[in-house]
Amino acid sequence: MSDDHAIRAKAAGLDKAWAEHRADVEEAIANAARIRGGFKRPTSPAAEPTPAYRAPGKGPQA
Amino acid sequence: MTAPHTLTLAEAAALIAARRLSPVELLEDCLARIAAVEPRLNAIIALLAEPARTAARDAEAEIAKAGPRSPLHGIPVGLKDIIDLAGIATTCHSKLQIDRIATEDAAVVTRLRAAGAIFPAKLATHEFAIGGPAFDLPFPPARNPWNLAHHPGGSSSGSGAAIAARYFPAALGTDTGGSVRHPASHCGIVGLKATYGLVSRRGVFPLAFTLDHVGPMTRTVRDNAMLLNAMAGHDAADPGSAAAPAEDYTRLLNAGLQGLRIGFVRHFHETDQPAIPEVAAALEAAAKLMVAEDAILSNITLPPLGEFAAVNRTILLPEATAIHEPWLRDRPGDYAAVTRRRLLPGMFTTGTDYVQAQRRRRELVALVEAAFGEVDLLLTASSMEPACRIDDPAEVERTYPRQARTPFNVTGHPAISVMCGVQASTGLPIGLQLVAPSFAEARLFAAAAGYERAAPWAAMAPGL
Repeated sequence: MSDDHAIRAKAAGLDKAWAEHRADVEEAIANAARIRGGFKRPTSPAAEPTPAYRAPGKGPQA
Repeated sequence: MTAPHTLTLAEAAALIAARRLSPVELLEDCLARIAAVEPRLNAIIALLAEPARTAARDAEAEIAKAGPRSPLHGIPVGLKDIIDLAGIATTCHSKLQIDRIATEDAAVVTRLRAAGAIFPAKLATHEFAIGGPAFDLPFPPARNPWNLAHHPGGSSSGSGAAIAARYFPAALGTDTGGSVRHPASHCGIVGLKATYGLVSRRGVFPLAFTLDHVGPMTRTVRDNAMLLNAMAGHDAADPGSAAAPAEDYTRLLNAGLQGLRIGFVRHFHETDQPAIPEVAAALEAAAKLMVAEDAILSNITLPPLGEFAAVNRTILLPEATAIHEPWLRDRPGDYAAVTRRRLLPGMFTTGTDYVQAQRRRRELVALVEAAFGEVDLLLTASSMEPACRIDDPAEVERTYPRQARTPFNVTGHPAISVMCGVQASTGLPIGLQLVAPSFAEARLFAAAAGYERAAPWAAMAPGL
C-alpha cells in the first residue's frame, strides 16, 4: 500500500510532503477515498454540474 | 450612560446621530475593553489603534458638520484577517502570508468605508479559514469568551470571540462550510451567511470559489441586518456576484413570526448527526416558542447531512488545493499540522469526483428548493454540541463536522445562526439555524428577530 501511496504522492507533486509528513499524506489519500463514496452520483447522463458554463458576452447581436 | 463598548450597533448609531456619543468616545472605550480582555482571549492579530483613532476623529468632525453618512458612520467593525485592508498585512493567520501587505481594500471594506465604518483590528481566524484551532502558528488561537478553556468555533474565530466579548459591535467573517455560523453559535451571537453572491468576495483570500461567502457578525439581529445593508451589492469584478437590486434588510424586523410556515429539519440532529440531549431540548424549546409566536411548524425531510458534507468536501478541497498546490508541494512544513491534514485530501480528489459532486450539487439545490415550495423557512440545528475544550485536538476533530451548516454552502441559500440556550455544565451557548429561499434575507431577519424578542438569550453576556 505504501508503494502505491508513494507513487500517488509523487504523481501529485508531493515528494517533499511525502518525505517530511508521510503520515499526513497517507491519511489524505484515505480521506479522499472515504469522501468519494459519501454522495450519490446522478443517474441521468444529462445531469449538468453546477455552475453551468456560460459563454462570455450578453448574447447574439442584433 | 451605558459603557459605549457594550452598546449594540443600533444603539451606538442612534446616539451618534443624536450627537450624544462621539465616534472618538466609542472607539476609545472599545480600545480600553480590548486592552483589558485581549491578553486572555487572543481574538486580535493586528490592533490598528492609531489609524482607527484618525478615522474616528474624521468621523466626529464630519458628523458634527453634516450628520452621519449612514448608521455605520463612526462604528468600529472588526475584520477577519483574510479580508484585505489597504496598507495592512492580510496574514490569513499563517506563516505563509505573514508579510503580504494588501494594496487595496476588499470590495466589502470599500463599501463599509464609504458608509463611514472604522476598522480597529484584523481578527484571528483558522489558518486560511480551514486550519484550526492550532497552537503551531505565528499567532495563538482565539478562545471562547464564555469559557476560556474552550474554542470559539471557526474559522471566523476572532470575529465571534471579539463580538461576544464586547470589543466592538460588529465584525466580518467568512463562511465556506459554516465558518460564520459556527463561531456565532459557540459565542452566542448572530451570524449570517447571505445568499451566495449577495456580498462581494473580491479582496478576500479564497478558500473555495463556489462556496465562499462573506458574512456579518453582530450581537443582535437588527445589527446584522444593518450591517448587511452596507455590505450587499453587485460587484461586476466578482465573477460570482449576483445582480440583485439593493434593498433594506431591516424593513421586516418588526414583522415577527406570525403566519410564517417553518419546516423543522429534525432528522439532521435526531438521526443524521445525533445532537446531545441539551442541544436537542434547546431546539425543541425554540420551535415551541416560535409556535407560541404564531409560526406554523411542520417537519421537513431533506437528504442526509452526510451527503451534503461529502459534496461540500469534494468541491471545497480541490478548489482550495488549486490555490494551495504550490505551497503544499514546496513548503508543507510551513502550515499548521491541522491545516496540512485538512487540505491534503484535495490533492487526491479526482477531476471526475469534483464534477460528480457539482452534478449532485444541482440535484441537492433542487431538493431544497422543493422544500421551499411547502414552507417559508427551515429550522435546523447549528452544532450538535457546544464548543469543546480548545486543548483537546481529538475532540475538536470529532465535533467540528457534527453540524448542519454545510448544506447551505452547497445550495447557496441564506442561513442565520442565533442563540437558543446555554449548556448548564460549561456555561457555553447553544445556537439554532434558520434558512430562507435565495435573496429572502429580509424574511430571515424577520423570523430571527421575532424569536430573539421572545427568547431570553439576547440579554445574556459572557462574564469576562
